[in-house]
Amino acid sequence: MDLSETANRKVNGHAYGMSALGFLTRYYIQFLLVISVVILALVNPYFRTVGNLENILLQASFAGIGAAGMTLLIVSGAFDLSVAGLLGLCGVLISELLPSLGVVLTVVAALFFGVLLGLLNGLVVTKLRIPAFIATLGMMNIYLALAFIWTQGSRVISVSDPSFNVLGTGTWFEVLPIPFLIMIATYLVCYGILNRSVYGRCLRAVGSSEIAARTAGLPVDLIRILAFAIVGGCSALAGVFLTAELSSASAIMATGYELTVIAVVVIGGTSLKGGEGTLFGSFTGALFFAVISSALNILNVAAYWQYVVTGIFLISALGVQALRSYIVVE
Amino acid sequence: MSNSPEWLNFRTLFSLSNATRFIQVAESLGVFALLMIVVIGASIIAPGFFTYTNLSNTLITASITAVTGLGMTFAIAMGGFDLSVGSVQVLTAIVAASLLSAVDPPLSILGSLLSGLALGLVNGVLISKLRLPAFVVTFGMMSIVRGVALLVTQGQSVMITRHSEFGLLNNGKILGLPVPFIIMMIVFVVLSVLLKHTPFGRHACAIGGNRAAATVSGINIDRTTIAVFGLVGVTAAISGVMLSSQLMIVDATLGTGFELQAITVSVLGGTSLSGGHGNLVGTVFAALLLATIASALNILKVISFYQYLALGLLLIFALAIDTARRAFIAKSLLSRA
Amino acid sequence: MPPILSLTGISKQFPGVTALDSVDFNLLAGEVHALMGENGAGKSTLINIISGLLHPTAGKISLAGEEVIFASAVQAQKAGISTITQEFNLVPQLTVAENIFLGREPTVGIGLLNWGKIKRHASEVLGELGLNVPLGQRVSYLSVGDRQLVEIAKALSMEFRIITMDEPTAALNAGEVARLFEIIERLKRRGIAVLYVSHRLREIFQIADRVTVLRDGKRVDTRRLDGLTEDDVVTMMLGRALKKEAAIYQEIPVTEKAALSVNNLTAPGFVTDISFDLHVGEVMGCAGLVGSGRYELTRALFGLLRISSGEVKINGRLVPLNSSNDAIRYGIYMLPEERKIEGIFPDLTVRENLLISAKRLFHRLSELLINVDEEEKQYQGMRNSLDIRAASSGQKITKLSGGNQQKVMLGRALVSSSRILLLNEPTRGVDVGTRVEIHAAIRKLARSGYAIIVSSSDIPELVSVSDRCLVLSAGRTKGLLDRAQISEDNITALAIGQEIRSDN
Repeated sequence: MDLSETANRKVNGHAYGMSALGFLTRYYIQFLLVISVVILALVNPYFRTVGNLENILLQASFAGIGAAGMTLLIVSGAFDLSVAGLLGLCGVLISELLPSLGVVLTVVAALFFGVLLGLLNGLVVTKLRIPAFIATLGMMNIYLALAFIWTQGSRVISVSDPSFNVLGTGTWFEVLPIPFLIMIATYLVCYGILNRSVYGRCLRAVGSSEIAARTAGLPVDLIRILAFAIVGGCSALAGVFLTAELSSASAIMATGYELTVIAVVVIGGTSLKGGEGTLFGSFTGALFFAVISSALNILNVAAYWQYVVTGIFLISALGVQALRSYIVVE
Repeated sequence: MSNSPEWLNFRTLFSLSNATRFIQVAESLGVFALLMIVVIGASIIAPGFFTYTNLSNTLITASITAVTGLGMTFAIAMGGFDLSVGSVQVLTAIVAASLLSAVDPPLSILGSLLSGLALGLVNGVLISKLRLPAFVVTFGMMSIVRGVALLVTQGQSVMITRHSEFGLLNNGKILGLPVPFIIMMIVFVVLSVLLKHTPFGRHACAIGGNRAAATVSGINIDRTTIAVFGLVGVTAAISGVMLSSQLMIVDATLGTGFELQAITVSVLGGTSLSGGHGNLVGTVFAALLLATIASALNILKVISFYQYLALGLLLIFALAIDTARRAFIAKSLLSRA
Repeated sequence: MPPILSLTGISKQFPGVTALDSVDFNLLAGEVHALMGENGAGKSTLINIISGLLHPTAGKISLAGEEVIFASAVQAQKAGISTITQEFNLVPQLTVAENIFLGREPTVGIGLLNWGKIKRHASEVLGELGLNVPLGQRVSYLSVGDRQLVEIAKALSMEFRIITMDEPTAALNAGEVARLFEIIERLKRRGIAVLYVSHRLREIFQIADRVTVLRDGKRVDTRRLDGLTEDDVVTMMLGRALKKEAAIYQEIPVTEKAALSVNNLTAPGFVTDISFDLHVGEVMGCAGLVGSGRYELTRALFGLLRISSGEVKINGRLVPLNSSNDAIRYGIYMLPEERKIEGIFPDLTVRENLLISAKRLFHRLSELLINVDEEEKQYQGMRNSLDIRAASSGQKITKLSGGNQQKVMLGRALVSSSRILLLNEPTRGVDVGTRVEIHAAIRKLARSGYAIIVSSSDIPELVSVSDRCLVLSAGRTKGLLDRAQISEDNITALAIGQEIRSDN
C-alpha cells in the first residue's frame, strides 16, 4: 500500500475515493432523515405546517439532549440504563423546589442533582466493578423507587410556574423551541469535549482499548466516572425541559427513555464497542426519531407502534454497523 | 456396572477435594442461610406470615419468578443473558389468555409455549448468526415484544372467561403444595439434568467459561446459543402461563421489571456473570428469598415501592459480592501458582 | 521405521520477510524431538504450520506417509496433532473429567452423559500419566502444572499421535518439571511423538532424543543428542562457537544517588529478590528468555504488577508503586511489550497515540483543551528523530506498518515527562537502518538526563545499547554485567542458565 496515495485520499475529504457502499453506511442516518422528511412532506399536508415542525424539534430535544451525554459514555465503552429513573427523580425534585427556590436556582439544583446521581452510577460501576448495563439496570430501579416513594405513588405533580413553563413552550423566531436551541448548545459543548479536549481523547482511548489505557497510565476509573456524571447532567437537563413542557412531574414521566436514547445513539452511527462516536449522528438520529414519531401520530397509527418501531430500528442499526465494520475490514 | 447418572454423581461429588466442595456448597448455603434468617425474621415480625395461605401464596410468587430465573441462569452460564423475558412473559400470558376463548387449556398452553420458544429462537439467531451483542439485541426485542403485546390487546385487558378450570393451575394443590411450585420443581429438575448431565449443558458452560476452548473442541457455538435462548423463551412462557392463571385477567402493562428479578435471583443465587457455571439451586433459594421479603413487607403494609427499592439494592449487593468473590479466587490462585 | 510426521521443503513467506526457507523435518513415533533456535529463527512459525494455524507457502506435510493439508487448527486436531501452549484450552469452571471429554462426551439413553464411561476412561488416562488429581475437581482450582497435565491427559484421551509442547516448563517449579518429564517418558512408551520447543538447554539434554536447530528460517541440522554437548548445540544455534570471556566483576563507583534503586524486589509468581541501582545517564539492559521475568520486572516497576516485598527508591526516596498512576507521578514510564494488545489505541490517530500520555489529565487547568499547533510540533519532532512513516499525523494508527507503529509507541514513552524509562522491545518490527538510529537516540537521551532500562529478547540490541546488563533467569538475577563484560556470548550464556567462568 502506497502511503502517499492514502494521503491524497484523506486530504481531499472523506467521501473521495470511498466506495459507494462505504459512504452509505457511514451517512445513512442523514439520508434517512432527509428522505423521510421529503416523503412525508409530500404525502401529508399537515406534516408541512410550521406547528408540526416546531413540535418535531421540541420532541427531538428531549431524547436528543440525553443522547449527547450517552454518546460520550458509549464512546468510553459503557452504557447507562438508569436515565429514565434519573430523569424522573430530577423531575420530582424540580416540582418540590420550584415553589420555594424560583426558576434559576431550581434548574441549577436539578442539574447538580443529576450530575450527583451520575457520579453515583459511575462509582458503582468502577469501584464495585459491576458491568455497566447490569449495574445501571439496578440503579434504575432504585431511582424509580425513590421517586415513587417521594411522590407516594405515581402521583402526578403539577408544576405550574409560568416563568418555568416557558422553558418548555417558549420559542425563538416562532419556530425554534428553547429546548431545541439548548440541544444545539449541548451538542456543541459535547462535540468540543469529545474532539477538542484532552479528556475527550482519554474517553476515546478508554473505549478503544482499556488495557492500553491502563498501561499508558490513564486514570481509567476517573475518566469513566466523569462520563457517567455527564450523562446524569444531560438527563437532568432533559428533565428540566420535559417537566416544563408537561407542566408536571411523576416518577414514570420518562418510561422508555433509556431505550430511545440508546437507539438514537446507535442509529446515529456510534459503535457500541466504543473508541469513536459521532455526535452529529446522534443529533440526526434524534431528529429522525422525532420525525417518525410525528409521522406515526399524523397517520393515526397507534402509539403502541412506537415500541415496536424503536426496537426494530435499534436492531437494524446494529446490523448496519456490523455490515460497516465488515466492509472496512475487507 | 451401573450406568445410573444419579449414583455416579454422588460418587463424583464425594471424590471432590474439600476445597471445591466447600466453595460449591457454600455458594448455595449462603443464600439458603439468608433465606432461613429472613423466613424466621418474617414469622416473628409479620403476623400472619407463617400461615398456610400466606406460605402458599409466597411459594406461588416465588415459583413464577424462579422458573424464568432458572432459564436465565442457564443463559448466564453460557455467558449471555436475556433482557426481553419480561416482555415475553406478558406476551405469552396474553397468548394463553386469548387462546382460551377458542380452544382447550392444553392447546392454549402449548400455543403459549411455542410462541415463547419462537421469540427465544429469534433472539438466539440474531445474537449468533448476525453476531450482534446479546445485551442490545434482547434490549431491542424487549421493546418490540412489548409493543406487539400492546398492539394485540390495543391497550385493553384480556379476561379469561371460558375454561375457568384454568385457574387450577394456580390454585390447585398436589400433596398440599401449590401447583405452581410443583411446576417449578419440574422445571428445576429438567434444567438441572440438562445443565449438568447432558453434553448440551456442558457445552453451554464451556462457551461461557472459555469460548476459545469451546471452539477448538469442535463445539457448535451457534447452535448451542440458539438453543439456550430458545430455552429461556420457553421458561419465560411457562412463567407467562402461570401468571395468566394467577390473575385470570391480563393486560400488556404487566411484567415490567421482571427481567431484573430474573437476573437478580440468578446472581444472588451464586451464578457468576462471568459465565462457566450456573447455580440452579441457588436461583430457587434466591427466588424464595425475594418472595418472602415481598410477602413480609406486604403484611407489614410497607409500600410496594420500598420493595422496588429493595430489589434494586439487592441486585447491586449481589453483583458486588460476585465481583469480590471473583477477585478473591483470582488472588488465591495467584498465590498457589 | 517411517516417520509419523514428515515436512518437506516447507517455506513460509510473510510480506517482506521469509520466516521459513525450505525446511525439511520429520518426527518419529515414540521420540522426543527438541526444536531449538534463537528468537526469530522460525520455531513458532514451524509449530503453527504443524498445528494447522498457518498454511505453508510451499512444501508438503505428510502424516504417516499420506500427504495432508490442514485447513484449520480443528482439522489438525482431528488428524491427531495436539498443541499445548501457554494459554490452555481448558474451561476453568468445568471439572477435570468434563474437560478431558469436551466436545465428544459419551452419552447413554436419551442423551444423558454416560458418567460411568467418562469416569472409567478418564481414570485410565490419568492413571497412565500417574496423575493424582480428583476427577470431579474444577480446573480453576488446579495449579498451573496440574492444568498442563490435564491438557496432556486430554490429548492422550483423544488418541493423539503427536503432541507439540511450546515452552512447557516456563511456568513450572522444579517438582512439576520432574513430573512432566516422567510423563513424557510414559508418552514415549505409548509410541507418541513429542515435539518439544524450549530454550532451556539443560532440559533438552535431559528429555530429548533428537534435536533440530533452526537459524534464520533454515534448518541447520538434526542430530541425536547422545554424543553432543551443550556447547555443540549453542554453536549450531549461533553459527559459531560461544566465546565465554573470563569475567572480572568490577564495581562501578557510585558517586551519586541512584535515580532508581531497587532492593530485594519480589513480585510473587514472577520475579524474586531483584536488586540493582540505575543512575541518570545510564542505559541498563535487561536480558532473559521466556519465563525469566524480564517483562514482569518492568511491569512491577510501573505499578502494574503486585510487589509483595522489597523496596523501590527514586532519587533516594521510598515510593509506593500500586498503580501506573503512581509510577507516572514519581517519574517512571513504561513501553509495553505487546503493542497490539496493550499498546496502541486502534481507533485513534497517529498523533493521538503518540501524545496520549504527554500530559497528566486535569493536572493543569490551562491544559484542558488540545493545543493543535503545539501537538503538531511535538509530533513533527518525534517524526524526525524516529523517522516515522505516516501520511499525516491525523491518520489512523492502524494504517501504519508494524515498525512504524512501534516507533510511535517509542515516541509516546519519549514525550512523557518521566525521566526514568522502561523500554520493552523498543525496536520490535523496525528495520535495521532505523534500529541503529533508535539506539543512538536512546543513548543520547540517557546522556541528556534520563535513566533508561531496555528490556529485550534481541541480544545484539542489548549489546549495542547497554552500559550495563542485568540478566534474569527463572525470575532471579543470574548476573549483572558491566560494560567490559557485555557481549552476545556472555549474555546468552547467562540467559540459558550457564555460568560464566570468572578469573579471580
